[in-house]
Amino acid sequence: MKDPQVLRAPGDAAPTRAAMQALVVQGLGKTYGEGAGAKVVLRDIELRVEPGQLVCIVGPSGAGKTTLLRCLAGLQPSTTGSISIGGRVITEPPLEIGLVFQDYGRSLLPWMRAIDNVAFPLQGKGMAAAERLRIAHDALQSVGLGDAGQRYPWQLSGGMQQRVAIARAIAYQAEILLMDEPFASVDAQTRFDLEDLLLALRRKLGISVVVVTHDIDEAVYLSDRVTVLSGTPASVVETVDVVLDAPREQIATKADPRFAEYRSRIMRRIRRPEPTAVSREQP
Amino acid sequence: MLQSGAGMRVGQLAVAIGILALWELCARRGWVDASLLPPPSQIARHVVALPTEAEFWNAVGSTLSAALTGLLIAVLVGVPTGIAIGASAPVYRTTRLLVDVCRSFPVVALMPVLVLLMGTTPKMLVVVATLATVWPILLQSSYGARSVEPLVSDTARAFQIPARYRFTHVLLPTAAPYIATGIRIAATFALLVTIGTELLSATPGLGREIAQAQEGANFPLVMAYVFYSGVLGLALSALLSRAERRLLAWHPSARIAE
Amino acid sequence: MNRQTLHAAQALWLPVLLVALWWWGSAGSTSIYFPPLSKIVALTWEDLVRGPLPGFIAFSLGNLAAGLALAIVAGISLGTVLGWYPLALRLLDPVLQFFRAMPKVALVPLFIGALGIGALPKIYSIALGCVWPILLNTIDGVRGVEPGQLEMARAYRIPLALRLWRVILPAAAPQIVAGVRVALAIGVVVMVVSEIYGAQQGVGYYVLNASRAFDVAQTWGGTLLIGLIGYLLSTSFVIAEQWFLRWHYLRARVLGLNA
Repeated sequence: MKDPQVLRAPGDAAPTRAAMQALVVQGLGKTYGEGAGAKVVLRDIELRVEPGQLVCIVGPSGAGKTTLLRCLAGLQPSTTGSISIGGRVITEPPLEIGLVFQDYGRSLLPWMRAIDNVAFPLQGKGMAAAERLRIAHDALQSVGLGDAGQRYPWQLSGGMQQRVAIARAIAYQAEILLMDEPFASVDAQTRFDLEDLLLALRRKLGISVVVVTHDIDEAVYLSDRVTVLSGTPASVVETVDVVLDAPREQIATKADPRFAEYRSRIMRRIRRPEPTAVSREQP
Repeated sequence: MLQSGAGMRVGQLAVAIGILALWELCARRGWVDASLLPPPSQIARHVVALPTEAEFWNAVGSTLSAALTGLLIAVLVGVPTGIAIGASAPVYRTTRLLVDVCRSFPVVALMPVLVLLMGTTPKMLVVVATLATVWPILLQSSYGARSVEPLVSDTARAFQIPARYRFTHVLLPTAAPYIATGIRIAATFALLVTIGTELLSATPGLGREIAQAQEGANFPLVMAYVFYSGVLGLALSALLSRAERRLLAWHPSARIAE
Repeated sequence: MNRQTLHAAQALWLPVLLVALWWWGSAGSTSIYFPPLSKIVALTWEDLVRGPLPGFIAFSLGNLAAGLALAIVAGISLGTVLGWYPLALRLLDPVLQFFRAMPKVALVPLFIGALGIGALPKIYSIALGCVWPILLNTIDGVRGVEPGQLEMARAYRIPLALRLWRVILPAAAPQIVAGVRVALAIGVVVMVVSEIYGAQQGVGYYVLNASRAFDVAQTWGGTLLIGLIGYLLSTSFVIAEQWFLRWHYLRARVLGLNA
């Protein structure tokens, strides 16, 4: 897939701010219920996303990845610990975060055209119509859907709908993108296209990205760092810095022997989740 | 506390009593026209007294018998016709306009003509009730017949199951829930239409009692009769729901726990 | 003959045949109760062109529109609140169920008795009859909004007013419109009842008057006219609904869903 166009010359306002704040999670825990029937889902999560970094959170299904992401997005309060952006503790959905849901079909509004969907959060910010439509159009162009704005979401394919959802997060001027298994509901070929789109966007816009995924290949391909979540209750069993040549490329990167080593290492850690101290290892 | 079953019941009761108390206050203080909304205390007196009077039960009997007779005829005519319409696409297309026109016809408008033709008799009420309820039943039956999945009927035909069995074992069971819903809706509608017609034409029944109480400016009595009309409607609906659950216990929708 | 004309012919031949049969079947009729259809039509036409009917129709439809508008505003407002706060809904449930089961036509005498035979009591009666399907359908619609859509609105910090206007109400719109469709039918019934019970104008009054004067042809004419009005109203509504909810119907077709 071709690189999405940059439609602003350097010096003009970019569709989004480059990330400048770090996302820091300390001692995060989440428990449902109280007393004997209490269910501890997350325990002692430590996570750090530097500005401009792409971090993937991997783990088996039902491990609590989605719960963690929802806490990060401010949709759910944590029971213990804290989440802060740029040193500021967040308690409700913060301005800096743009969320991309797994189920794009249920998060895009079917009564609005694609461009209106993308502009909607900006309407929530009180921006005037002309301005927000312009930004929305720019965002759609940067995901390669510049001329699909007038279509309704249900007239678009799954991959295109997810791109609209990504454009929405970008138009929102989010500096941190949170994505919950964003490519799980599309076919494999589209997935590769979307992964490359994400990398290109990150490179051009300088945003930080946190991706929750169960697909280890995807995690290694995309990330600067992989956080492995496993066990019940889920905790961070390892954090792996991924050092591979940039820019990543579907065929070349995956042929690199280090790719396979990262993959097996992560897979092993998921299957044997003895809790270790957070470590930074090289393969 | 409110989440528990018993707590919710208490809460609901409190809300209902609260509304009644507010109503009583407004009526007593004259904030609301007492001829429009008489105080609940006065209404309650009549509500308690009515079941002891013979003419109340006569009225109930007249209304119920007319409504139910009309409903029965509507079922006997509407269900087979509806199924026939729904089962065949050309028949459906042929009758569609006719059914649409008849369905949107406010049966109450027929009352003056029918009074001219038949007088203010129970028979007239039955005709009105039948005409009003046959359309929802017919429509629902046709929806039910149309809802048979093509795959199911194709399978039946592929296995060369004779038409008679296809009817009783495929079409009827599929259409049954729709028909049941149609009858339940039609029942309350039959009651409504019967009472409305009695009201307007002074034919014996609950509706006439309401009109007479109104003319006698006995507003609490009017409301008491309205109250019992509602009770009757609820009781009929509840009875039919229970019968429906029993008869359709085999249907997946009935097995879903409430 | 192509498929479309075939279908059109199929749809029309029976009604046309029935009307034709009635027309010719009653042509020479001397029965008091079943005058010739030609006479009925002629009389009604006369009243439409020269008589009081246009004013009556305007009166009736005006009341219907006002009552329905009132019911829509009240029903959607209250329905949204109750749909949004499930606790309030559950607390009010028995009260709502009871009022819903009450035959609202029975309240027409009270309204007219208290407020007279003018337009206002009719409007209130119509509104009272219409509000229930709208209220109940709004509640269902609001409760049925996709949680994913609500979450998205929360994650993007959409303020409540905008959330209501552009997420909740559009999501509930199909249900609400279905409620209005039912309410329209009920409104027509209450409109006729209120005019027969006590009025000096309106189509219901026209029919009642004719029947009191034993003018059978005019009574039939008025009745048929009311039927025609009812049919035209409900058909227009369906057409308007197709336009208003076009995103919904188009989407259902694209996704192969049952709209």
